Amino acid sequence: MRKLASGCAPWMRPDESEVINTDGGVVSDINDCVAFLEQLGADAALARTTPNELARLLADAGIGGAAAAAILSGDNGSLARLLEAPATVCCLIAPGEEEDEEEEEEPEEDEEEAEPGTARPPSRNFATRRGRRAA
Amino acid sequence: MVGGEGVGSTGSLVCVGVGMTLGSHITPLARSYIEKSDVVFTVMPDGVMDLWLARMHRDVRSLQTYYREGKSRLQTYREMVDVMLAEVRGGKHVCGAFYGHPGVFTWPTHQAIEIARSEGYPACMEPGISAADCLYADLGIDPGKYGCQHFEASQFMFYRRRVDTAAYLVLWQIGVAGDRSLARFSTGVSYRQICVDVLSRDYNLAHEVILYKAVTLATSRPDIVRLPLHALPDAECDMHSTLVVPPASALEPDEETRERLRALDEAG
Repeated sequence: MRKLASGCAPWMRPDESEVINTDGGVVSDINDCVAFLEQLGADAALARTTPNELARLLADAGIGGAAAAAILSGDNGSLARLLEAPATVCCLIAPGEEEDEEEEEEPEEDEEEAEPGTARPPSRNFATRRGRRAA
Repeated sequence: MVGGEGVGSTGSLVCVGVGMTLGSHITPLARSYIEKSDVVFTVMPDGVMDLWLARMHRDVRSLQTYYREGKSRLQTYREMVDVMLAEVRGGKHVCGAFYGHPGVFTWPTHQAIEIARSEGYPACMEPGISAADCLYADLGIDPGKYGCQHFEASQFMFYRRRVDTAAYLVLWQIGVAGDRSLARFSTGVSYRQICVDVLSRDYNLAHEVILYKAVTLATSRPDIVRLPLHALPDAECDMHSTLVVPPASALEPDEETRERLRALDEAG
């Protein structure tokens, strides 16, 4: 396969670096596929490749058959399955609302001293207090 | 490793972002933290990105295993915090590698760092290229031009917010808009219809909005769909989708403040 961009760590899980027997009869290595995608993402010269150029690059890298087809068609789901990548169940990492939203806030000293009717934006303390309680 | 602690002296936590696109966005520092930590926990939007991180470290553990439809995501997030902190308390240098920016619309990282620090462990966050950054680039939006408001879609629906229609409005996690349970991975047409109803307080239903998805593999192109606001409920949305509402009104000059500033200039 093509030489990788510098700084790429060596594959450290040889037990999981299995070959994929693709339906085109071409054997692709998981490591090769991931390295190819990394290089594609990191190399400005490859950032505007046409589908034909991409097909040639894949062939040069020894990636063929179903894996190449999935890459060429941008079918990330199929590619992940072919590479036996860990399943992505969910990618949401922010709650819309925290469960204790309705709890009554305990007044802090600065709030007690505030003049009645003084309009203030929600303070940083408000956000921090909620975060702590949710923990 | 974090905060100048020597290896082995105490546990530590660093949360890094690897950006949105495999190979394109990771910073040298984030890569270094991943490579040099004792254990790496990940949340990635694509399993291939997990394989990529596994090339950098022999002990990469995906936190995807804690998600389950029907289970509150807040519980999942707490479990993510717990499992990372357990290793910190055990004396390990822990790296939490999250897609995008680890501190943008990401609950577990802020919590884990706050708790780790409260217990005396060194903990820090290293930024990454977020979906918002990709959105600005792919849609040609400069948030400084008219201003830009960002809300989590469900929170936007649960509370009355002051929408500035002269600025951009970005609603994140539109695919689960209105989910009060935090236990769904998608909500349907009727939920997005309520979101449209809320937006229609400030926007014409014919106003053009954009559904956006950033690229995770360089072989893909960003997914950009322009549609009228009223068509949003029936549009294809998933957990990767973000809604962008471009400005619908002109900036309104604040004559009173301008006059005060003019007077200040003339007095000086």
